[in-house]
Amino acid sequence: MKRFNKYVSLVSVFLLALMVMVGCGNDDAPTTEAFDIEDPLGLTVTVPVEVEAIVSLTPAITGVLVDLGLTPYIVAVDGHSIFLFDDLSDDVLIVDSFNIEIESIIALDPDLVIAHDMIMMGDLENDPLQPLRDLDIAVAYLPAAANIEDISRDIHFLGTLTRREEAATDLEADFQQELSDIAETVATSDRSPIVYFEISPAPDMFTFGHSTFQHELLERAGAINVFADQEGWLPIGAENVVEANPEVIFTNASFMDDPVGEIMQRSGWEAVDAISNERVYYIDNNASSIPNHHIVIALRMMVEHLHGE
Amino acid sequence: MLTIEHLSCCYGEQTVLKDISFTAKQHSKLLIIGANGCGKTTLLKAIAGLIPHQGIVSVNGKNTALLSRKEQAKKIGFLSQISSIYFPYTVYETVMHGRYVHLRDGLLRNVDKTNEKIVLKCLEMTGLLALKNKSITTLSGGQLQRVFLARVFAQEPDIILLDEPTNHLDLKHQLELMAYLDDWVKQGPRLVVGVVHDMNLALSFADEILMLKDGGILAHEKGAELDLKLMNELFEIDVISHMKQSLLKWQ
Amino acid sequence: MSKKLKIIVLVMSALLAILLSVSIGGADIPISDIGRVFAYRLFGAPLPSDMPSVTAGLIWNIRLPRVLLSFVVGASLAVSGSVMQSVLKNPLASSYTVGVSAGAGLGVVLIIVFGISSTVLGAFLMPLTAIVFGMATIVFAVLVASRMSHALNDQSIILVGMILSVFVNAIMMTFASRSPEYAQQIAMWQMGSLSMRGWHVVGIISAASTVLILWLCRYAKEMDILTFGDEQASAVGVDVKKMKWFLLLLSSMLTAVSVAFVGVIGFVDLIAPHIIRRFFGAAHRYVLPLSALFGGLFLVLADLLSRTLIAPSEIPIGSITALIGAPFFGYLFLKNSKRKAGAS
Repeated sequence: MKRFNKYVSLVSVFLLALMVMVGCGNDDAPTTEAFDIEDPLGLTVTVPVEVEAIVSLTPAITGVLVDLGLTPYIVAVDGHSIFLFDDLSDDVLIVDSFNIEIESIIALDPDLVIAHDMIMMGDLENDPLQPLRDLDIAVAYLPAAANIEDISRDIHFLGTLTRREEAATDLEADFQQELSDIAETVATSDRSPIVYFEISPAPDMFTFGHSTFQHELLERAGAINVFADQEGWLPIGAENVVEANPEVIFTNASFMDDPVGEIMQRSGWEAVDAISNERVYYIDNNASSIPNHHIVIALRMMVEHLHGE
Repeated sequence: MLTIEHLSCCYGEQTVLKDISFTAKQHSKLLIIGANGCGKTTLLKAIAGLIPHQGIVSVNGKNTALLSRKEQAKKIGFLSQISSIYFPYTVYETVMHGRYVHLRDGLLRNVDKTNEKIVLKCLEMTGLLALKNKSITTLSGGQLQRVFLARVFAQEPDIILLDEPTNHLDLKHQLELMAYLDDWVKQGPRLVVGVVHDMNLALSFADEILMLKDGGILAHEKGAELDLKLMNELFEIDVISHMKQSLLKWQ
Repeated sequence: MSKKLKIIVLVMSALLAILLSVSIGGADIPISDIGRVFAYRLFGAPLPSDMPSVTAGLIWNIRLPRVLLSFVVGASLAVSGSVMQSVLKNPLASSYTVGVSAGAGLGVVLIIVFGISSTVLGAFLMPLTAIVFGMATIVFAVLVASRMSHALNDQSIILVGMILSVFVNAIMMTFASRSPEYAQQIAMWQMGSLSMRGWHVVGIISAASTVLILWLCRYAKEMDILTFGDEQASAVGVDVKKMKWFLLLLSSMLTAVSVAFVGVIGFVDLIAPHIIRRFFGAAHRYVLPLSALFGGLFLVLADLLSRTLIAPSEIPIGSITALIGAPFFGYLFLKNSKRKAGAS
């Protein structure tokens, strides 16, 4: 009898251990604890037990959340996001990111609020979302991605914040795959066209230089940014563009009927290579101004125009 | 030459002038005296057409209200106290402004020889010929007032109205100014009507005196026939005794 | 230095400034090339083969219209300022402070924010609206002022104009703040821009301004007389009320036409007349045309700076004029108050 009991205990222990192992090995079983995480600003965010009511205050963030399958959980978005994503619930609250109505957000009892750090205007004392933090609502600040690396980082960060790490990993993998496919295409071309990318149209034109994600896009598309020596986004004088004589011109101005046509008929620009060779193209505005993984759409368009013919 | 009929004038609610009527003939110098606030300046400005009023002002039979500003200015000139606002125009340019009503219209409004001659004559009349190219901002008070007098002369009006032009001038210049006007009024069908603060100056200069009290005429007399006792009534103090006492000091 | 000599110096400086401004920029173009492009455009002479293909278009259709535009706008604003300051007897008087820019700004903002467009007027809708609103504002200001004081007292005009300006600006700000996506466009308009306006804008402003400036010059004598005060001017035979209305409206129109196309560019209308009066005296037959010349010269140089200081980027022209203008006025007032203190 003693030997039998010993045997049973052994088996029970073994079975128990097995069950525990199986139980622990399953990722999708929800961890039932709140946890702390540091956002890119270095502030601590306490992610609650359940993340089922999310407020997203930039279209870049919303874009990632939607692709992580979180559409039904988004309860409030900024004014731009509401235009970009049709599947958001009809009762989603629209927040004016320049004039945030804190009370409306509080009334939604959100679990998580994700915003652009710019709303603080660089001053931590000046946080318009402080009332939320005072109520122990989780608030995370995500600065706009300045390059591809940041975009990847943001995907992972948002995945962790929303307890969707696996979806995030998949999303990132797809993103990287697209990027490497594009890189392959670019590698096969021997062209390195000089490109001027206009992000705000005449008469007061804006473009960008290095240290912007758009600049990195141009580089990955195998182009040379005609204003690579400048930093950030800047207003640019017409004569400087004409004098630089770019081979290709991209524009992402979207609020006029024919942005390409407008550039083509600019007085004094006729002799510019891009215009005499009719290499002026429109690049999707959202994909080239919202710093998240959707930039691959813009990248593809650019690569097609630059190397396709 | 100048006929005022039932002139009344108010500033808002307050009636300053009540039903003033009088006439003045050419070659005469009519001075208006009265206490401060009795409406002397208002009367002058109303005659000049510078402020709105009821009643009729006629010059040589013509109602001035029917005339344009330019036409009115051709008949009536106005010399006031030295203003504090003036810009660095030359004496010549300033006096030339007096010819405004006589200049032709047009972009290249030509200051022709006639106008030039008249301006030079007026400068001569007022002893300013040597200063004609000086900026008026560099002149003394007396000189400046002579410039404005020359300007009024250049305007060639029939009537000159004086609004205490001798204020802020020293005695020499006061007498000088009045002497110029005296000459002027003799040399044509002209009339001077004015307000002078200094009683003695007024009495010595004027042919006729108009006494104004509380917006109405107290008396209108030729200078020689003036009943000086009315002065006391006008100013409500014993003016005569005061003047006599001052005279004693001078003797 | 005699007046004649000073005038010659001024004219030569203006021409030189224009030449320099066409030559210098993001790309410095040698004067000889400029000559060649002119020969090509005017006489069909061929261009040298070593000249970059973009140069001709750059000079003829980008730089030259821009430089000429800056000259014409500078001239208009300067004359407008001279008239305003004389009529209102205030060295800080300007059509801007009396309501033109506020009104025009409101018109522009309404169009941008409500996305109004017109197939008939096309690109002229915005400038036309700016002119109409700008003039309406100042007409309203002068009307209210004339109710307040029968004689159209200068202080009344300035006061009413300023209050109205502030009020209209507030309305404009309210609309603008509700549409942050247009904030940049509206901000750029407030700072003025001479960029990419095209020959037709140069043409329109030149034509309108020439007519208005010549018309104003016709009243140089009346303006001289007005500086002696309303009463004296009236006594000398000037119809003061009518003249004031007329001069205020005409000079506002002069500003409005420029503002409508290039936005708000300040300080030219304050600086130019002041400097000209310093060197040429107060007589308007000199002040008006010479202010035009100097205002043009000033803005041409300001535009040159705006294009070259942070090339290839640009500083808004309104910022340059303000950066030069504000210290200039500080210096003026200091000098004036020192003089007053010394004299007393």
